Amino acid sequence: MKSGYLTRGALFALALTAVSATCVTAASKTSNPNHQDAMLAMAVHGDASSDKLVDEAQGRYVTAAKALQTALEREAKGQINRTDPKAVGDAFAATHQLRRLAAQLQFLGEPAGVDVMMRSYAMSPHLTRIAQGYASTPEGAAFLAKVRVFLAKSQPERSNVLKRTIELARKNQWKEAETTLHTTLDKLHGMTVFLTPDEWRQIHEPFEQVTTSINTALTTIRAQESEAILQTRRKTLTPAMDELLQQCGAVAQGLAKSATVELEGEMVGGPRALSALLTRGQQVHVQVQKYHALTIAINDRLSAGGAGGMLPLSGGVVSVDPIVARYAGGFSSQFAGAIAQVIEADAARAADDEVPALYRAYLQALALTAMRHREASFTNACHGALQKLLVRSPAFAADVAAYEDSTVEILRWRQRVAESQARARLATHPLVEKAFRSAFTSKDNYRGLFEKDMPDYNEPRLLAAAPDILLPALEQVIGQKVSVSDVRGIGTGKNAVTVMNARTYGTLRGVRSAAEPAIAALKADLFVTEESGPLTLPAAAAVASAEMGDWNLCGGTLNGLHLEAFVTRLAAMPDPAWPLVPLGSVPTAGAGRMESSVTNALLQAVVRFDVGPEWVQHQYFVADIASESATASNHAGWKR
Amino acid sequence: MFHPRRVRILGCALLLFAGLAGGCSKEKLDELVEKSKQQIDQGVQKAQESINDNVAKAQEGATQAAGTAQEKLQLAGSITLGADGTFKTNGCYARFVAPTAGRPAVLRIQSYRDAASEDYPSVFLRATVTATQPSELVGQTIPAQMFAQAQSGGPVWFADATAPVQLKVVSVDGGKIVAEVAGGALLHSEGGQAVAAAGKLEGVLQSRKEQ
Repeated sequence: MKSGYLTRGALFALALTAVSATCVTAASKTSNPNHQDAMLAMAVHGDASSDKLVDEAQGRYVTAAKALQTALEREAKGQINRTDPKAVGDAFAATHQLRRLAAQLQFLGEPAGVDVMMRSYAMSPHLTRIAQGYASTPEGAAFLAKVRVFLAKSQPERSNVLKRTIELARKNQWKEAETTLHTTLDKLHGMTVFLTPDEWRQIHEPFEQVTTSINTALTTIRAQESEAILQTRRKTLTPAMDELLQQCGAVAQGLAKSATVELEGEMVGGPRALSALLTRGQQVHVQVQKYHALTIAINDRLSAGGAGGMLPLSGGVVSVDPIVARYAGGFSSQFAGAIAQVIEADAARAADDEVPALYRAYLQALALTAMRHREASFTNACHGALQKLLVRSPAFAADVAAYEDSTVEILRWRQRVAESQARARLATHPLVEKAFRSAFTSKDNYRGLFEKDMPDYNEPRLLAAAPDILLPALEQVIGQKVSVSDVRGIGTGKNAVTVMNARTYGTLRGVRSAAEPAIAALKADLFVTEESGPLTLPAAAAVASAEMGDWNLCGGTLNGLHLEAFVTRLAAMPDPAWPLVPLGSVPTAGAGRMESSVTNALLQAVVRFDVGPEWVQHQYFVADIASESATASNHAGWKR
Repeated sequence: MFHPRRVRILGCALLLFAGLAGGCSKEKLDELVEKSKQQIDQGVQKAQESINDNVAKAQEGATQAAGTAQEKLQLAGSITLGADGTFKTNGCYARFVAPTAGRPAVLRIQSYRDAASEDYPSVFLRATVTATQPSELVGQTIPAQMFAQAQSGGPVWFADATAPVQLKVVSVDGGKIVAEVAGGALLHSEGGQAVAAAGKLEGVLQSRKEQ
């Protein structure tokens, strides 16, 4: 199934096989075109209006695609004379309806609209060719004769519609004018696709001027309306950075006077307050991603309309939103400082005998975040604050020092072994973001996610309709042995998601339990038991990250691929998926840029991979997890 | 308490005899081990003589500076791996962490004073032990995790807690500890092959303040 050997028609026929092979469902808020159903609409991030538009578009698309598939099959068998003219005509009319729906989706900043637009344009030439081919057969000639009679008889009615439309347009009743116009044009398209070009012009030319006027007026109106909707949404997502810092300050002030503080209506101790603040920090992080996505959508939603020729191209003005810039430009350090102040305030107040319990509790609260934070400033601030707590109890500080003495080097060497073992495994399980590129790079007649010449592998884009991108390439990648990096457990750690890298990310299920023996061995090396926890931040982070299912690498079989939109991925990010983007950052707009304005932003894609895990590399071990009985030790290093 | 000035001859030799476990007969293995031990013993003796000549040159100063000087002068010993002696370290340091708060005592032996001054080849051993002070370890053969790396970022030969090497503590005397790797195998982190481990070790026994 090499795309290079297929004509565009064959490609489309190939794509359409999925229509009959799978039960095409309506568009969904969360699903995207994928390895099981490449025909699915792309997910939307907006409110009910977006849902309604994409549902309608998907319904029309599926019907039209089925009709085209049937017609293509008959054409391939040399039976074009058996074409169903009504089905083909309706499908052709649907392509025009799809373009209008696509434009409205784009106004709302929905990348799904760009995909709908491209699907429409992918179908049109096939439908036109089949209609013209059918018209040249005896059966088609008979059908065409009836069409011509009908069109002649209905000429007065068309004139009346035109007059009504012009009248409505003069009164600036643009939406009514559009409805009136399109009700008639949709009916005409189903018939005029069979006519000769001259006949087509005679029917349609009278409508062209008023159509242009209506489109121009409504483009302005809808651009304004949609901007207001998006701005309102974006306002509700303004990240509460200052509020978070103030909350940290209030908790620190409270802990300076008392062992408990009121937080969100509950009296809690310092460590619990700290956990709550860290969770709040994650929520702010997600807010930033959503805010960033909507900013990009607002700035650039019209530029992608070039695909349909129905929207004006905008210049893609380069700018950095000040809120996004503040977050990515150092908020993390501010937050780390505020978190440290909480611990320091508690340390200054606590009685000496409270220190061991407080220290352990703070360590647990900080462990996972410290491990996941890529910025050293966060870990350093936390470490510094914990040291101030230890100063209060020299005896306990000595115990912690002895613990560090016993564990620090074994962690370093475990990490070296794990890195070395993983390096060897990468030879057979290449990183997925590199492994999938070749199949999705444009070549010959195939248009994929990367340009043929000078492809930017950090910025996959929809260069064709989603089904046309996916179907020729899927067979080349599904089943491949690959690795995904920076895996982060979510929720209770049963499932995991990877940090997005080069606009790709992975999802995994059920990994952690299979690695239990290796986790137990790590704990034993760190003297961690039910009664006695780790006593240093690195040790606590090691255990917490292993128990949460955080892996540096996970190797396995690529068994699923989903084509998502960049803007939608961020704008619809659920809170538990916060590890998709490293804390304190936003995804760059390609080539390391952070602009809040990206030309053709709605075309930008994200590829999600489902990986069936076979082994994992934690920072401090490698474990095979292909079977229930995972290998417990580093001996897993060479087992395949 | 240990003080750099009190450093005497601290020869440290550790032989890791490398022979593919599956492809080498026991007789051959024993022969090679014996030969290697002789070479190491000769090396240690030469080092000892050299150190005796140079020990007076050891300088006082900061701990780190002293450590570097000791390593240059072979005062802190070295670790030699392989029969041909190509794997040779510039230092050998041991640390005993007494049992604390329900945790067992730990014996650490490594080829570097601390992580910041680590160079390559590099070796690390860790054993959890039943003792309250290092002298109680004399005569004990204890399972130990062991790691050896020829170069930074390269593969690691290792024995983890599930299949440790056997470390026999021969003597603990003042600031010195003598031990032997008396059995076990090391595994290659990337290839997976196993090699028998054997050797002799003499190192500086550091106290915490000297880290």
